[in-house]
Amino acid sequence: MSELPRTIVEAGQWLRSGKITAATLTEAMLARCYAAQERLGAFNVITDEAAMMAARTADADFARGIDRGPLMGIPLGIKDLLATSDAPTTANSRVLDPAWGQRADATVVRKLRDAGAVLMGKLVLHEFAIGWPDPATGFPIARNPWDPTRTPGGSSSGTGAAVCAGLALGGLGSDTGGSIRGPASYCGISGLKPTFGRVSKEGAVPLGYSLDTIGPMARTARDCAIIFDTIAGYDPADPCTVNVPVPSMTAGLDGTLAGVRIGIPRDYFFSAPELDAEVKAMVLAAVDTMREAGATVVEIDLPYSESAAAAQRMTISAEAYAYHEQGLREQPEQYGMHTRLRLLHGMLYTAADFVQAQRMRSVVRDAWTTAMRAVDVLITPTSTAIAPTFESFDGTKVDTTPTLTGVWNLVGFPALSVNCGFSATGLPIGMQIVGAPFTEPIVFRVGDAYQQITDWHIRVPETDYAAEVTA
Amino acid sequence: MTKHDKDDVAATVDHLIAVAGMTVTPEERDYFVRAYPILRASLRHLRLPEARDAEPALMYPADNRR
Repeated sequence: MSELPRTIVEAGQWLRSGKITAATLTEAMLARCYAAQERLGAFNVITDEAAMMAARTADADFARGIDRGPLMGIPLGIKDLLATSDAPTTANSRVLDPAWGQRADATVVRKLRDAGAVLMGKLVLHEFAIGWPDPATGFPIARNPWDPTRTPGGSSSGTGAAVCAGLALGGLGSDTGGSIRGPASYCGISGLKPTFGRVSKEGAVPLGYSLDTIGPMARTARDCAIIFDTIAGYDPADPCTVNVPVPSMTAGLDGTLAGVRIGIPRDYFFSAPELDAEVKAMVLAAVDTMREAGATVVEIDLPYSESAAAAQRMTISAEAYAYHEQGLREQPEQYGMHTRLRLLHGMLYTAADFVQAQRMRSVVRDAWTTAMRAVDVLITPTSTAIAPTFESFDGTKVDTTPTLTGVWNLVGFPALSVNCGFSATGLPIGMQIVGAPFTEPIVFRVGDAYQQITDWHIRVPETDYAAEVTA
Repeated sequence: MTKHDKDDVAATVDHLIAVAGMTVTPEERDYFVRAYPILRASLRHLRLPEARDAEPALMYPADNRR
């Protein structure tokens, strides 16, 4: 007996060497999904029949010598705000019209299926990708596999929990202000918010039109790069996608940091009073590790961070409020209490506030684009603290806690979160690697190289549902 | 904040809720009355002199051709 593979790369090796079949792998992971569902609540629906069919197709293709690439036969999960042809889409809400999801796959889902991936089901999220779960809505609430009394982060909570617990080898999340990177940080996995316009969001329930991104979550940066290679690219069905070439994300993963220029923006990102001392220390220790491995580290000035945070909050409030205005007016009681509170913020702003936020956005983008010319990537903490308990949640702090992630949605830069250590209480701490627009290859390279010289990312929580498979 | 200021904030929030046509619980209304001054204060960061002549990024096109 042996354990199941923990990464996409490892699973691909097993599948191609004949150590395991896609059907066996999928069957074992489905068993895990069901065993963990009550404790972790990661899935809204497990599409076991469709998954097994995709796995058998992959096995048949392998047998015929057909190889559709590194995702063939790999079990993945999909955040339940992306349309899939084989399951309803709920956005974890009673408000979304069920007819919305009765359609073909979202572009990114179709790309994964075309690559031979095995889609295991629809993963839980915070309602409409904002707020905080409300048990009254009746949907499952995803929990952190490291400590189920704590949140796995949000809004891609199910994807974070599922990947962390080994219920899927990767998955898709969405990120409007940190919804991929937050769960990646709290769960100790890797997750990329792409450059705005790099990945199609066609078929995704919107939150903030000019901030929304779809991206990969997986145990390693390399696995994220593999998923990203498949989903990235121009899509005529999404007017926000940019028609520029997409280089290979994995070709440059040489495991080295030699010559890489790392910038450390001390102000705001490392100086906020809310930043936990343990988080700060671990991220700076990771920077030291990368310096010792050959990277050049310089401090860098990023002006207007407070303005960027205010502009991002204003923009997400306005855009989300516009989408939900009718629903909030006509069926407010159908929203979860925390979601409703967050969405209603939009009624407190003026039209001038919105335009002023977009003018400030131009100023910030220009200043930060200029600053980034001196470095290849920036390093910051992903979150100000470790995963909080459900019991300690205070929705009123959302307005005053600095966002270390949302500012990158404002300017559209790519940002990857990777695990850089654990707290004294045994909870993961995330480090954010930020690049200039369309520089995902260097972002992945730095994340992968860091993971080549550390082992934080391969640590997994102890579970009682880790099914084994006959080798 | 004086009582007069608090009354002004409460009146403003009540007005905004009414104009929006929203129904909120008393707890939500109280929360917005508390949050509104904080929210408005944060908007000072959007009105810097540097933005006075800036064009708005109404639909942000991430662009590597700068």
